[in-house]
Amino acid sequence: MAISVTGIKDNIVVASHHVSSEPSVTSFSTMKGAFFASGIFHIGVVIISMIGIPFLVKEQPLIITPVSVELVNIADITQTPKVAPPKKVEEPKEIKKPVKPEPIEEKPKPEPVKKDPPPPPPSEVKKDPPKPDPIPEPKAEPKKKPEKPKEKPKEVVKEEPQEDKFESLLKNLSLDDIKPKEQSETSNEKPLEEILDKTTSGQIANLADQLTVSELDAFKRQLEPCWNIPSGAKFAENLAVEVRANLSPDGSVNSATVLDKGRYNRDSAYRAAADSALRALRNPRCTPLQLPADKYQQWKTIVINFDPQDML
Amino acid sequence: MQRIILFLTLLLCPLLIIVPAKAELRIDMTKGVVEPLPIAITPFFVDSGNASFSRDIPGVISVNLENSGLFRPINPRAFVQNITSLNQNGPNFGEWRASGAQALVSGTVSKSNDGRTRVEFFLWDTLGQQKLLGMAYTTTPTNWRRIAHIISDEIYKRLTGEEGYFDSRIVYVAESGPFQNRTKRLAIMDQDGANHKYLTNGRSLVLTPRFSPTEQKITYMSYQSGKPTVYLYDIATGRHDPLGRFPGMTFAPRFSPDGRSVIMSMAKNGNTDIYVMPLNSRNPKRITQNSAIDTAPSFAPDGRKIVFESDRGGSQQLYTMNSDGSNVQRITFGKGRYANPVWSPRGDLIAFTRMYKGKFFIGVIRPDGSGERLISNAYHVEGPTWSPNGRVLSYFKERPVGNNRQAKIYTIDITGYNEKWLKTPVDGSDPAWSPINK
Repeated sequence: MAISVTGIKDNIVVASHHVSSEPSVTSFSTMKGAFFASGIFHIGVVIISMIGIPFLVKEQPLIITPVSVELVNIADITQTPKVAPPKKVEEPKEIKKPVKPEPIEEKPKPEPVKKDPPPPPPSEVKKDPPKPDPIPEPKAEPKKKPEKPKEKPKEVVKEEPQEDKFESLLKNLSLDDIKPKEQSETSNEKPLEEILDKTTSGQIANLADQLTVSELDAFKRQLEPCWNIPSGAKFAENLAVEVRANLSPDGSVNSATVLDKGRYNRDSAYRAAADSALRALRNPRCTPLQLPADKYQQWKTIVINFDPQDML
Repeated sequence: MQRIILFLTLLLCPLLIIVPAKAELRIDMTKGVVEPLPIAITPFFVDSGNASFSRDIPGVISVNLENSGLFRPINPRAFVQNITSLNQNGPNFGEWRASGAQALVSGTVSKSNDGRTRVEFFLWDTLGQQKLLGMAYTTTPTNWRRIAHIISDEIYKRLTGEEGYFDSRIVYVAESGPFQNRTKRLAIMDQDGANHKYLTNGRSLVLTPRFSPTEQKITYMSYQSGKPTVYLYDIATGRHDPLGRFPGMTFAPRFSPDGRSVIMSMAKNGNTDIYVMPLNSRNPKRITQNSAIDTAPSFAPDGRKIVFESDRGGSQQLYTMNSDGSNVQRITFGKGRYANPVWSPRGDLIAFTRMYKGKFFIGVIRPDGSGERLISNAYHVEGPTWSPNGRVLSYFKERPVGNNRQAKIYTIDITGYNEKWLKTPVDGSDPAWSPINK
């Protein structure tokens, strides 16, 4: 019974459909209709050519090769004040000699001076303090990494595998000579491409207007001391927070909003992490942000991803 | 008409794809600091009632937050706004920001008509210039400490995103007398050491007290009857009862997460295995069947898994298994011996004691056996217990002093920093943290 009802209904729909379409067909066949359609088509073409095509052109994936050329000089400048001059200075010179296609010496992540791990608040237990494991000494030696045009992967300054750059904030004592498992396995070295890709992902602009890696690093270094990360929180490694900030030309933060509002409202740990990120952007100690004024259009609005994963 | 619509749709589709792709500069912050949050805890404004609450309540809050290691109460001398103005007009954010405070606590105390005390507090975000919390509690004036702990928990929760642990207690074994003839009594105190009191008279030895996660009950082992026996102690009534009459020695008791059963070891015919005993039937069920020594069981907070120590692999290591005893997996493989595992109430970590070359360590490890970290060590350090929020560990350290020995209770943040001595009137060992008070 039910099926037949549906069938009848279908018939009705089809019938009405048929009836209604007929008059429209007749009207469409007149000149007016064609003129109307042609008008819309032209407007459409104009809209695409005005708005669409520039976007299509701009949206080409970022080509990073030319950026690296610029990095050579500026990267040197960023690092000099922070890191003690390493003995290896001569080596880069040798490497720089070769002509263009050679790999270019460059430091993907200028290391700011190492922070001590979280200052254990003054302990009352002076007499019998736990012997903290000597935390790996800050390495003065800067990292060197080849920018790799694929042809020549080998022409690189040789380097010892380094200790984890991002010193862990979680204390781990050693059993004298025994190293706990995970201490040895950490090496956070990242290929330059990945770093460039991450820091500038989605960035599109004329190369001259683009923020250089050094400028981005300076920005991060400025904000670092004010970003208090949720080190002991449960699953702290999953508490990355994306914040969109609108900045004034002088670098002050007009507004900062957390992108994932839903999670902010339902997950209290995320909310605390997000608040902490917002505090970094509002802290008078670290703002106004120092960014190149001539590139304001680039950083007028920025999305900052506060990701504690590497620190844990 | 249809064709026009179709035509327009086809025409506009590419636009829809193109327009939202406008890109923004994106920056990844991967480094920051770990610093205690500077917080201004102002004296409370006393409208009516006990004037000393003005400083006492914020005082307790301040000590709590500072002890957690996550907050740094700023010096009251840096306070910029007087409390009358603060409570009447709200904070002058600019001035508080300049004082370095990133959060601000204010409050008022008043007396209600029935003679009870009403405490109201506000938590402010000085950088974001907004109120984060505002709550009020009414209670008898003698309960002021507890109100201060509850307020501390609320502040902690709002700023860290995790439950607090300040409104909780610690039971421990209070030790006195010479090493050979040590008096060991059960004692209980607030987590900050206040309201200390003894629960047993010290005539018989007590060991390994453990709090029920759901009720104000404690299980412990005592030699009261001559042989080691697990007892149940009800704090409210003061009653001690043996859990049951068992053929063998029972020890290392712990409650299940629902508080309805006790998991423990029983040594029978020279073999130690793990048993679960529901508190209503008192009928123990054997969980492990192994000729090795299986002991020190502890439930995961969801009750589905158990961690325990065993020497079945040749040396004393930690294992996990399902609550019915199936799916046994070894999770530690390090040198030395592992003992006393305790599953965090947060579920993410297991704390343990590790012994190697005569040294003792307290460590934590993930339940899958990864991420082992040793966070404290001493000549003898043992008996880790978790704060109810799984953020802090307490344990005791013992060291020889002349012919005697000295035992002290400590707390530490799970990051491995902020180790603190928890002062007790006499020596203390074997601490056990209560759940949040109800």
